[in-house]
Amino acid sequence: MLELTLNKITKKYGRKIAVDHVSYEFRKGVYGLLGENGAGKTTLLRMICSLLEPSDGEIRCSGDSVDRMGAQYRRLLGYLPQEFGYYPEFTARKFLLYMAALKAIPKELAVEKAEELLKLVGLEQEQNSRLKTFSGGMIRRLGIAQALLNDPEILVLDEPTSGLDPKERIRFRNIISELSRDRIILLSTHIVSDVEYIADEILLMKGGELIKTGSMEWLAAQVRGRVWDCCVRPEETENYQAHYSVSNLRNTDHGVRLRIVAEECPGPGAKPVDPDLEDVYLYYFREV
Amino acid sequence: MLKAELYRIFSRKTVLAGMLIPILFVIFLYGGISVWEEGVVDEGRVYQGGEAITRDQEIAEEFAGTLTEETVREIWNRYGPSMIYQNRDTSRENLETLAKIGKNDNFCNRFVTRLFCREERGEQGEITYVLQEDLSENKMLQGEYIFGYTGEGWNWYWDKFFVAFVLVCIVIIVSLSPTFSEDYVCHTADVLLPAAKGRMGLWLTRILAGTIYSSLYYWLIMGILLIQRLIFYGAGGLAVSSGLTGSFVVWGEEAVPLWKTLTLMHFCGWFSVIFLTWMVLGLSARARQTFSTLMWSLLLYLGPFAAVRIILDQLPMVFVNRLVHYIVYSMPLTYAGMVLESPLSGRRFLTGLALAAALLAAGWGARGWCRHQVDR
Repeated sequence: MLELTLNKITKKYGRKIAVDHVSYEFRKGVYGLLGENGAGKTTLLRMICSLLEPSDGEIRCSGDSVDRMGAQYRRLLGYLPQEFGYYPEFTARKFLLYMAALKAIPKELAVEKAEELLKLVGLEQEQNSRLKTFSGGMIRRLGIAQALLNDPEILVLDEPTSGLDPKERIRFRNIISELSRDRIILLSTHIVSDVEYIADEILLMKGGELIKTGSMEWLAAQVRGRVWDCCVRPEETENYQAHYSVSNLRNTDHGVRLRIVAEECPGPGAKPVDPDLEDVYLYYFREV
Repeated sequence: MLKAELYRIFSRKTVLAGMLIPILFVIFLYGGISVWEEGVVDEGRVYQGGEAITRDQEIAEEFAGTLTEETVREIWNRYGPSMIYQNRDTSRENLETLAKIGKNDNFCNRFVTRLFCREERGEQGEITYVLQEDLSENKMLQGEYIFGYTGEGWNWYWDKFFVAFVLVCIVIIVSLSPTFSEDYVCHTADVLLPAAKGRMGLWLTRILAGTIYSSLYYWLIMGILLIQRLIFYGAGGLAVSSGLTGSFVVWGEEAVPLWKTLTLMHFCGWFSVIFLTWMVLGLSARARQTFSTLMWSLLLYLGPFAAVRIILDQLPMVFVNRLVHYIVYSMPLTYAGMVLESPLSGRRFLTGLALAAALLAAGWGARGWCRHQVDR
């Protein structure tokens, strides 16, 4: 069974530590990597994809160092970067065939895969249009398609749904869920709902470190009793926002309904509620 | 992948526009204008353009073959010196003035004036040409050299070749500079490098694509240049000895027919273009911006020779200076010319240096690409 092991992976830029001694073992399933901007998520993913050399530590794939495996390791990879680059003069089909050749996919199979994936991501009608005519969402979908070309055993997706509308986002979630059976899928995102329903494990990253890892249920259990629902007067809203982390605010006929993440009960009438992933995120990434 | 890489090169509009300029230049300047400037005055009659070439060929036909002192003197006795050798004004008006005073100007007497006359200045500063009295020791007249019509088309072929060659090289620099640097700017490197063949495989494919592109373009321009010469001036000039054509002459082999010199010249030019291609691709893989690749490539192409001429030529020619000269002469700008001028040992040395520099640049670029760190 495929295993991807990170052993004290560190990345330093001068005195700044972008990734700080991260150790983790990935097996098949979907892993959601959550964190603020600058937490080190993209740096970590780039090291996993061999785009960056770690300053320290090692990455192993089923026991072998990925450095030593080289092209053999890269055959297992599918990667969608945060900023997906493309050649504007290429058509979607041509670009996928080009990427297929780079991924060492035989030509006949490449043609078949390209057609299948263009259909999967909803770009079948535009396959012969030049990429410079594509919208941001269409480019993103093409990026997802190219990441899946070689049927990768390790799929790394950095902000995959950025620029996609809700319908496309749901479609993408379903694709990932289908694919997750026999591979490692590592998904970095700011959009909690992208991973809330499909991730087997959530990894919370802050300041270059993995501060918490576990299943959605387990993480939710860690913050149970710290998420509150209360209704306040409109003039009190600002005060609550200044003192607590408010994960949701909704105006109702009876006042302003607040969902608050706090160690202690924020006020009279506040009731504890079951936390969701957004609450978990807010709990660990709130400003103390 | 190779087809895609070639498509990538040709899909840039700047490349297509850039490729057109030397093509038009060669066709119009070396074709149209060159022929248009031909002029002959023979027995009181004026010929211009294509007619002048035909008349020159007829006149030269009589003297074609092994060049001897008798040939030279016969041309001299029949036609005298060229009257517009110094300032070649082939306008109708000027040629008719010469015709009226019974003067002749054709390829043969221009040839004799150029190679076997000396200048004499009159009291008022006017220049006349006088045939040298003693030609017995002249190495061109010992029976090894072949004379025939070459015209402005085949004469000084190196000058035409070199200008076209430099234009080709500039187009190649402009076309191939974005090859890798564009990937850094457009972030396509992020998806190419993690692919199985995205490193050395892609590097080798691009070297091949770049080499094919630059070779095809080089031979297209040189082919146009050669075909024009053949169409307007005929193939007869190719059998003439190189040393008679005013062209770049192979060291120690001035009597060889022009076709041999041109063959060597063109192949050396081709090797230069390939060396340049590998250097530009090496720089592209190291530079993060296309503009810096372009600037560094142009500097690498033109800078060393300029530095030698401006600085190093003024310094004592000690071993280090001599070695630096050789290194510079092996660079793409000067390689072809220097190889032609050199003895066999010199050619081998220059070629070895050129190949080493090109491979070093390519290898340095390969390492830069394959180990590129995406760390924005």
